[in-house]
Amino acid sequence: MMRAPVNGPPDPTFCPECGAPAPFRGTTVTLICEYCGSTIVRTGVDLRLVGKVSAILDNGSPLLLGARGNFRGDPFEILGRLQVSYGRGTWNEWFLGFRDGTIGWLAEALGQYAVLRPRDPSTVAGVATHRAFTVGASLTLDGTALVVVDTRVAQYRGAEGQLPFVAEPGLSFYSADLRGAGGEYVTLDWGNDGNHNRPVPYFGRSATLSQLGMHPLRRFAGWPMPQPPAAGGARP
Amino acid sequence: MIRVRHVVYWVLSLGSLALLGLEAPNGALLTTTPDRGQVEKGTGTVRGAPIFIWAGGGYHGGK
Amino acid sequence: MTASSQTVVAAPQRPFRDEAQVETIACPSCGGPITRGAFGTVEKIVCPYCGSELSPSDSGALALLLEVRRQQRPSALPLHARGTLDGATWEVVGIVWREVTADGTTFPWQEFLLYNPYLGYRFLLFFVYDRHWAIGRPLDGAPEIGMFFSRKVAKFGGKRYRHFQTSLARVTYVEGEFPWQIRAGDQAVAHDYVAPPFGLSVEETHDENGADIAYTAMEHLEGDAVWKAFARSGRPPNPVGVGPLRPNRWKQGAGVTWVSCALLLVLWVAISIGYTASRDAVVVFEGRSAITEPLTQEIDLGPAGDVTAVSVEFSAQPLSNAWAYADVLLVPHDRDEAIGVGVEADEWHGVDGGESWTEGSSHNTVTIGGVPTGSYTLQITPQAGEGTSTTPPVGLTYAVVIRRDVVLARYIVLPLLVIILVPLLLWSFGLMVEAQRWKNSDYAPSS
Repeated sequence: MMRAPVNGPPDPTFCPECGAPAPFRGTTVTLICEYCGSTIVRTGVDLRLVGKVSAILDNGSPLLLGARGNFRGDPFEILGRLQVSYGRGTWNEWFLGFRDGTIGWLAEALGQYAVLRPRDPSTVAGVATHRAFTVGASLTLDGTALVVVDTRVAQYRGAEGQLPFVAEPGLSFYSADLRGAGGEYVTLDWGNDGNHNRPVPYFGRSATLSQLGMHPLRRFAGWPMPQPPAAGGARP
Repeated sequence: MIRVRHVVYWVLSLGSLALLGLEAPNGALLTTTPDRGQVEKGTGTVRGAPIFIWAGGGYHGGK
Repeated sequence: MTASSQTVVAAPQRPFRDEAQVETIACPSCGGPITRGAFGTVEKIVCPYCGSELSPSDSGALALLLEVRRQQRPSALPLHARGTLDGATWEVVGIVWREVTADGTTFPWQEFLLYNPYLGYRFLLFFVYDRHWAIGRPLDGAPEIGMFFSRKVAKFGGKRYRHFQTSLARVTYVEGEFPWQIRAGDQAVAHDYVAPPFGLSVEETHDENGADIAYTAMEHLEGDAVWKAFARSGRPPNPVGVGPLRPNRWKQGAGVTWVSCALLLVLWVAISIGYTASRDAVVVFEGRSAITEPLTQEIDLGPAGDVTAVSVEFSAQPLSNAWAYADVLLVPHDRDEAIGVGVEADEWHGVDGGESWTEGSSHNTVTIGGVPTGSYTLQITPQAGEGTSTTPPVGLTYAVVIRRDVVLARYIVLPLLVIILVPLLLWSFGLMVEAQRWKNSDYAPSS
């Protein structure tokens, strides 16, 4: 799959609402203007104003837009955040641009983190509809033995920064999380309709912030900042 | 990890092995304690040999 | 930050670049000061003072979900206590009391939700009913649930955990902040697996939007460790019983015990062989006579200057409701001190209540140790009697065999007993502790 580099030089585009620079990069589709909060969608060469997303809820994440880290030696930068809500709370999906031009997601829920990278949907084609997934079930996806740990219908709640798709607030999406015995983490994304059996798979692993060498991190009153990672931010 | 019970076990085991290796040939500890004392020749003989009796009367006790 | 030269725009708002502040907000129900120690991660706040349930709204204000008037209950640790565990600082931001009921008995425990903004959450558990502590950490993956010798087990990270119990845990009391919706009365099916001092907890939750399974790695904590971690004064409550996760102290170091046992057995075999090979049990006297006749003879107990063990074997026959006794006297040739030992034989029989009985022995051996080697005069003085009399039965004869350098089996058996019984004893103590532990599981022997 060929991709334009996500973190290449920004195109000289401007927010149709306030005129501030709107630095779309690579394959980014949605950008939330950091000056006026407008959601700007790129359609071909034109920019379209979708409206204002609801403000991101401060859900206490220590991660920051623009922070850098690395996943198993591959450096990345946080380009955007999608905030998702479900019945019992919210979680964050941080959009990552890797130095090699590929993308990934850093999922953050209840203080637990996992880095996921998309895999070709053909590797799990025909697996099942969203409804057919029950928690506790075991299955093997693309050679990895996994257990279904979470099935959910959730809503896009808010966003910041850049996103690789049109994120309209309130839109429902269907997903399932699976975990393996060796820390493998897989998310299947059916999109806005769970009644098909061709979800997009994301494969990765759970990780801690220090394993990812995330820097900078948000400051919290009364809590010392963890030691910044060693020079270069790269960890084995 | 080494605990007090191991040390007690080793001391008891090696102690009883030392008893076997060093004291068993003498056999003084785990056997009947015999009477010990002075004897004197009594009157008469048995098949020509003198008869011995415990000195100092009947008692022949102790070590 | 400089604006573009062509366009004048307001400075961007980047709220997350600022330090997140700890807020204190008045409870909209009772006015009590609620400290928001867990920043924005919170979905649910239960006022510690009145129990009202609050939810942070998007604007940051607290929305009242459920107004309650109840007393704050004292827990083993207070809300907002900070402590050091796993090398990091944690703050108690929420307290949940939960319980399970089994066979009509309620087992309550307290869960302390520990928070660190950079590390997430941990769960500190205090089991009120036996006063044990455990810490729970989110498991880094999914365990494999299966069977092992007809036992339900969970395997994770090369470790096998045995299924201990499955129970319906109820929430009975809540205070503080939680990153998920929680309320008194919530129920969850919890499966507990143990490999003391570690455990695995599997909790399944279903709601209208989906379902999830939470895996938690548990580890036993001593009350002293909790008290030290949270710098509490005084002493922690004294635990009772074994608990599902408390390490079995009799099983600790079992490897050292069994390796020691094997080495000591090798040593024992070697020393035993050495001992028996050096003993030849030479017969130094063998005599037979009528019971009325004493015996005397010069005997040799080996080269002078040593000590040895001597056995005296005595038999008398025919004995019938009679006794025989021999006074065996060893008079040394080179010393004053003589050695004497008595040995007897007897035989008793009769009929009692229609049952015939016999007792006694017509053949006995006495062993004396510490006998100096050298030349002796042996003198054997026999006595005998029928019943209680001292008149020897007619025709009774006796025989005596004396050996020097005899092998004493008792010296060989003693170390063997010590070497084998100590590990067996420790092992059985361990089994007893495990039996006590599993008495409270789903696998208790039916009573």
